[in-house]
Amino acid sequence: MSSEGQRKPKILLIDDDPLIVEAMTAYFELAGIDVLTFSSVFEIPFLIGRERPEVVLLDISMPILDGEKIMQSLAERVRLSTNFILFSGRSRRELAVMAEQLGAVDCISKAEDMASIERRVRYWIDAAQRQTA
Amino acid sequence: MKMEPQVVVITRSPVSRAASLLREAGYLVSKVPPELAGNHTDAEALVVDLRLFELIQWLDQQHDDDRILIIAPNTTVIKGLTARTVQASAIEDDLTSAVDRIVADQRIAAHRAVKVLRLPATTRAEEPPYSPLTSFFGAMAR
Repeated sequence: MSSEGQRKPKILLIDDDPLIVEAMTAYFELAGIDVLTFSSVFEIPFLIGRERPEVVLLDISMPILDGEKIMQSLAERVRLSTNFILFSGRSRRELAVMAEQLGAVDCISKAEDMASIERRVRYWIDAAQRQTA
Repeated sequence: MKMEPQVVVITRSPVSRAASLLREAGYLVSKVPPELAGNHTDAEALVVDLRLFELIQWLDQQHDDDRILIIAPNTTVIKGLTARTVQASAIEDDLTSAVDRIVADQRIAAHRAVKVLRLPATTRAEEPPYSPLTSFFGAMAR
Protein backbone atom coordinates (compact mmCIF):
# COMPACT_ATOMS: atom_id res chain seq x y z
CA MET A 1 0.00 0.00 0.00
CA SER A 2 1.25 3.49 -0.74
CA SER A 3 2.10 5.99 2.00
CA GLU A 4 -0.93 7.99 0.80
CA GLY A 5 -3.14 5.09 1.87
CA GLN A 6 -1.65 5.00 5.38
CA ARG A 7 -1.89 8.71 6.24
CA LYS A 8 -4.29 9.97 8.86
CA PRO A 9 -7.67 10.58 7.24
CA LYS A 10 -8.72 14.18 6.67
CA ILE A 11 -12.08 15.80 6.29
CA LEU A 12 -12.88 19.36 5.32
CA LEU A 13 -15.73 20.82 7.33
CA ILE A 14 -17.60 23.68 5.67
CA ASP A 15 -19.97 25.16 8.19
CA ASP A 16 -20.36 28.75 9.33
CA ASP A 17 -21.56 27.90 12.84
CA PRO A 18 -18.49 28.13 15.15
CA LEU A 19 -20.14 25.93 17.78
CA ILE A 20 -20.76 23.11 15.28
CA VAL A 21 -17.22 23.47 13.92
CA GLU A 22 -15.74 23.32 17.42
CA ALA A 23 -17.81 20.34 18.53
CA MET A 24 -17.28 18.36 15.31
CA THR A 25 -13.55 19.12 15.26
CA ALA A 26 -13.13 17.94 18.85
CA TYR A 27 -15.13 14.76 18.17
CA PHE A 28 -13.37 13.78 14.96
CA GLU A 29 -9.87 14.63 16.25
CA LEU A 30 -10.52 12.30 19.19
CA ALA A 31 -11.65 9.66 16.70
CA GLY A 32 -8.33 9.96 14.83
CA ILE A 33 -9.57 12.04 11.90
CA ASP A 34 -7.96 15.40 11.03
CA VAL A 35 -10.46 18.20 10.50
CA LEU A 36 -9.65 21.04 8.12
CA THR A 37 -11.55 24.28 8.41
CA PHE A 38 -11.45 27.35 6.20
CA SER A 39 -11.15 31.05 6.82
CA SER A 40 -12.46 32.31 3.48
CA VAL A 41 -14.82 30.78 0.95
CA PHE A 42 -12.23 31.43 -1.78
CA GLU A 43 -9.82 29.16 0.06
CA ILE A 44 -12.01 26.07 -0.34
CA PRO A 45 -10.90 24.89 -3.83
CA PHE A 46 -7.23 25.39 -2.87
CA LEU A 47 -7.71 23.52 0.41
CA ILE A 48 -9.29 20.59 -1.43
CA GLY A 49 -6.52 20.57 -4.05
CA ARG A 50 -3.64 20.92 -1.58
CA GLU A 51 -4.83 18.80 1.36
CA ARG A 52 -6.84 16.23 -0.59
CA PRO A 53 -9.36 15.49 2.16
CA GLU A 54 -11.12 12.14 1.76
CA VAL A 55 -14.44 13.74 2.62
CA VAL A 56 -15.89 17.24 2.46
CA LEU A 57 -18.72 17.75 4.92
CA LEU A 58 -20.70 20.65 3.52
CA ASP A 59 -23.47 22.48 5.33
CA ILE A 60 -25.91 23.17 2.54
CA SER A 61 -28.07 25.65 4.41
CA MET A 62 -25.81 28.33 5.80
CA PRO A 63 -27.44 31.76 6.16
CA ILE A 64 -24.49 33.76 4.80
CA LEU A 65 -22.56 31.28 2.63
CA ASP A 66 -24.64 29.25 0.23
CA GLY A 67 -23.45 25.64 0.30
CA GLU A 68 -25.26 24.87 -2.94
CA LYS A 69 -23.45 27.70 -4.74
CA ILE A 70 -20.12 26.68 -3.21
CA MET A 71 -20.52 23.21 -4.64
CA GLN A 72 -21.70 24.43 -8.04
CA SER A 73 -18.76 26.83 -8.27
CA LEU A 74 -16.19 24.08 -7.80
CA ALA A 75 -14.68 22.66 -10.95
CA GLU A 76 -16.23 19.37 -12.09
CA ARG A 77 -12.84 17.68 -11.67
CA VAL A 78 -12.78 18.66 -7.97
CA ARG A 79 -16.38 17.57 -7.43
CA LEU A 80 -15.88 14.19 -9.05
CA SER A 81 -12.63 13.38 -7.27
CA THR A 82 -13.85 14.25 -3.77
CA ASN A 83 -16.57 12.67 -1.66
CA PHE A 84 -18.94 15.48 -0.77
CA ILE A 85 -21.46 14.82 1.98
CA LEU A 86 -24.28 17.28 2.46
CA PHE A 87 -24.72 18.11 6.12
CA SER A 88 -27.69 20.11 7.24
CA GLY A 89 -30.62 20.49 9.55
CA ARG A 90 -33.02 20.03 6.62
CA SER A 91 -35.16 16.92 6.24
CA ARG A 92 -33.51 13.75 4.98
CA ARG A 93 -35.86 13.70 1.98
CA GLU A 94 -34.84 17.19 0.91
CA LEU A 95 -31.15 16.44 1.48
CA ALA A 96 -31.26 13.17 -0.50
CA VAL A 97 -32.73 14.93 -3.53
CA MET A 98 -30.17 17.75 -3.30
CA ALA A 99 -27.30 15.28 -2.91
CA GLU A 100 -28.30 13.57 -6.12
CA GLN A 101 -28.70 16.84 -8.02
CA LEU A 102 -25.40 18.29 -6.80
CA GLY A 103 -23.39 15.08 -7.17
CA ALA A 104 -22.75 14.50 -3.46
CA VAL A 105 -22.15 10.91 -2.36
CA ASP A 106 -24.24 11.07 0.79
CA CYS A 107 -26.26 13.30 3.07
CA ILE A 108 -26.36 13.53 6.83
CA SER A 109 -28.91 15.33 8.92
CA LYS A 110 -27.55 17.36 11.84
CA ALA A 111 -30.22 15.68 13.94
CA GLU A 112 -28.39 12.34 13.70
CA ASP A 113 -26.27 11.21 16.62
CA MET A 114 -22.50 11.61 16.43
CA ALA A 115 -21.83 7.87 16.30
CA SER A 116 -24.02 7.55 13.22
CA ILE A 117 -22.38 10.62 11.61
CA GLU A 118 -18.95 9.13 12.29
CA ARG A 119 -19.94 5.76 10.76
CA ARG A 120 -21.10 7.40 7.55
CA VAL A 121 -18.04 9.65 7.32
CA ARG A 122 -15.71 6.70 7.94
CA TYR A 123 -17.46 4.66 5.25
CA TRP A 124 -16.66 7.36 2.67
CA ILE A 125 -13.13 7.86 4.00
CA ASP A 126 -12.54 4.11 3.50
CA ALA A 127 -14.07 4.30 0.02
CA ALA A 128 -11.72 7.19 -0.91
CA GLN A 129 -8.69 5.38 0.49
CA ARG A 130 -9.59 2.19 -1.42
CA GLN A 131 -9.75 4.24 -4.63
CA THR A 132 -6.33 5.83 -4.13
CA ALA A 133 -4.62 2.63 -2.88
CA MET B 1 -19.81 -1.07 15.29
CA LYS B 2 -23.20 -1.50 13.59
CA MET B 3 -23.04 -0.32 10.00
CA GLU B 4 -25.86 1.05 7.89
CA PRO B 5 -26.63 -1.30 4.97
CA GLN B 6 -24.64 -0.65 1.82
CA VAL B 7 -26.43 -0.57 -1.49
CA VAL B 8 -24.97 -0.16 -4.96
CA VAL B 9 -27.08 1.51 -7.62
CA ILE B 10 -25.86 0.47 -11.06
CA THR B 11 -26.74 3.25 -13.43
CA ARG B 12 -25.39 5.63 -16.04
CA SER B 13 -27.73 8.38 -15.05
CA PRO B 14 -26.00 11.34 -13.35
CA VAL B 15 -29.17 11.96 -11.34
CA SER B 16 -30.84 8.80 -10.09
CA ARG B 17 -34.20 8.87 -8.34
CA ALA B 18 -33.47 5.39 -6.98
CA ALA B 19 -30.26 6.57 -5.29
CA SER B 20 -32.08 9.54 -3.85
CA LEU B 21 -34.90 7.40 -2.42
CA LEU B 22 -32.47 4.94 -0.86
CA ARG B 23 -30.35 7.70 0.73
CA GLU B 24 -33.52 9.17 2.13
CA ALA B 25 -34.23 5.79 3.73
CA GLY B 26 -30.80 5.87 5.40
CA TYR B 27 -28.90 3.48 3.13
CA LEU B 28 -25.26 4.08 2.25
CA VAL B 29 -25.55 4.34 -1.51
CA SER B 30 -22.74 4.05 -4.06
CA LYS B 31 -23.65 4.87 -7.64
CA VAL B 32 -21.56 3.09 -10.25
CA PRO B 33 -21.65 2.39 -13.99
CA PRO B 34 -22.21 -1.31 -14.91
CA GLU B 35 -18.55 -1.99 -15.76
CA LEU B 36 -17.52 -1.08 -12.18
CA ALA B 37 -20.28 -2.98 -10.38
CA GLY B 38 -18.01 -5.98 -9.81
CA ASN B 39 -15.81 -3.93 -7.45
CA HIS B 40 -18.59 -3.73 -4.88
CA THR B 41 -18.65 -7.27 -3.57
CA ASP B 42 -19.52 -6.18 -0.02
CA ALA B 43 -22.81 -4.49 -0.97
CA GLU B 44 -25.94 -6.00 0.54
CA ALA B 45 -28.11 -5.14 -2.45
CA LEU B 46 -27.43 -4.27 -6.10
CA VAL B 47 -30.11 -2.07 -7.63
CA VAL B 48 -29.89 -2.10 -11.41
CA ASP B 49 -31.26 1.00 -13.08
CA LEU B 50 -30.21 0.77 -16.72
CA ARG B 51 -31.81 1.31 -20.08
CA LEU B 52 -33.36 -1.82 -21.56
CA PHE B 53 -30.61 -2.73 -24.04
CA GLU B 54 -27.82 -2.30 -21.51
CA LEU B 55 -29.85 -4.05 -18.81
CA ILE B 56 -30.16 -7.17 -20.97
CA GLN B 57 -26.42 -7.08 -21.78
CA TRP B 58 -25.52 -6.70 -18.11
CA LEU B 59 -27.85 -9.48 -16.99
CA ASP B 60 -26.35 -11.84 -19.57
CA GLN B 61 -22.98 -11.50 -17.83
CA GLN B 62 -24.29 -12.15 -14.31
CA HIS B 63 -24.53 -15.36 -12.31
CA ASP B 64 -27.43 -15.96 -9.97
CA ASP B 65 -27.20 -13.38 -7.25
CA ASP B 66 -29.90 -12.91 -4.60
CA ARG B 67 -28.77 -9.33 -4.03
CA ILE B 68 -29.91 -8.09 -7.44
CA LEU B 69 -33.00 -5.92 -7.75
CA ILE B 70 -33.91 -4.67 -11.19
CA ILE B 71 -35.77 -1.49 -11.90
CA ALA B 72 -37.64 -2.73 -14.93
CA PRO B 73 -38.07 -0.08 -17.61
CA ASN B 74 -41.30 -1.72 -18.79
CA THR B 75 -43.48 -4.72 -18.04
CA THR B 76 -42.24 -6.87 -20.95
CA VAL B 77 -38.84 -7.21 -19.30
CA ILE B 78 -40.23 -8.71 -16.12
CA LYS B 79 -41.55 -11.88 -17.82
CA GLY B 80 -38.12 -13.30 -18.68
CA LEU B 81 -36.39 -12.44 -15.42
CA THR B 82 -35.64 -14.58 -12.39
CA ALA B 83 -34.18 -11.66 -10.41
CA ARG B 84 -36.44 -9.52 -8.25
CA THR B 85 -37.90 -6.51 -9.97
CA VAL B 86 -39.75 -3.32 -9.30
CA GLN B 87 -41.34 -1.34 -12.07
CA ALA B 88 -39.78 2.02 -12.87
CA SER B 89 -43.19 3.66 -12.51
CA ALA B 90 -43.60 2.27 -8.97
CA ILE B 91 -40.23 2.98 -7.38
CA GLU B 92 -41.56 5.75 -5.15
CA ASP B 93 -43.75 3.19 -3.37
CA ASP B 94 -41.92 -0.10 -3.82
CA LEU B 95 -38.17 0.43 -4.06
CA THR B 96 -37.26 0.95 -0.41
CA SER B 97 -39.33 -1.98 0.85
CA ALA B 98 -37.95 -4.27 -1.90
CA VAL B 99 -34.37 -3.34 -0.91
CA ASP B 100 -35.29 -3.76 2.78
CA ARG B 101 -36.37 -7.35 2.02
CA ILE B 102 -33.14 -8.14 0.16
CA VAL B 103 -31.00 -6.72 2.96
CA ALA B 104 -33.04 -8.61 5.57
CA ASP B 105 -32.63 -11.87 3.60
CA GLN B 106 -28.88 -11.28 3.32
CA ARG B 107 -28.55 -10.62 7.04
CA ILE B 108 -30.66 -13.65 7.98
CA ALA B 109 -28.55 -15.85 5.68
CA ALA B 110 -25.35 -14.41 7.18
CA HIS B 111 -26.69 -14.96 10.71
CA ARG B 112 -27.50 -18.60 9.89
CA ALA B 113 -24.02 -19.09 8.43
CA VAL B 114 -22.45 -17.73 11.63
CA LYS B 115 -24.59 -20.10 13.73
CA VAL B 116 -23.45 -23.09 11.69
CA LEU B 117 -19.83 -21.98 12.06
CA ARG B 118 -20.24 -21.73 15.83
CA LEU B 119 -21.63 -25.27 16.26
CA PRO B 120 -18.28 -27.04 16.88
CA ALA B 121 -17.46 -24.46 19.57
CA THR B 122 -20.69 -25.37 21.43
CA THR B 123 -19.68 -29.04 21.36
CA ARG B 124 -16.28 -28.22 22.76
CA ALA B 125 -17.86 -26.24 25.61
CA GLU B 126 -19.23 -29.52 27.07
CA GLU B 127 -15.69 -30.62 27.91
CA PRO B 128 -14.38 -29.44 31.33
CA PRO B 129 -12.73 -26.06 31.07
CA TYR B 130 -8.97 -25.91 31.27
CA SER B 131 -7.43 -24.97 34.64
CA PRO B 132 -3.90 -25.40 35.94
CA LEU B 133 -5.20 -27.65 38.77
CA THR B 134 -7.14 -30.10 36.56
CA SER B 135 -4.19 -30.13 34.23
CA PHE B 136 -1.83 -30.95 37.15
CA PHE B 137 -4.04 -33.73 38.58
CA GLY B 138 -4.64 -35.08 35.09
CA ALA B 139 -0.90 -35.36 34.61
CA MET B 140 -0.49 -37.05 38.06
CA ALA B 141 -3.21 -39.60 37.23
CA ARG B 142 -1.40 -40.52 34.02
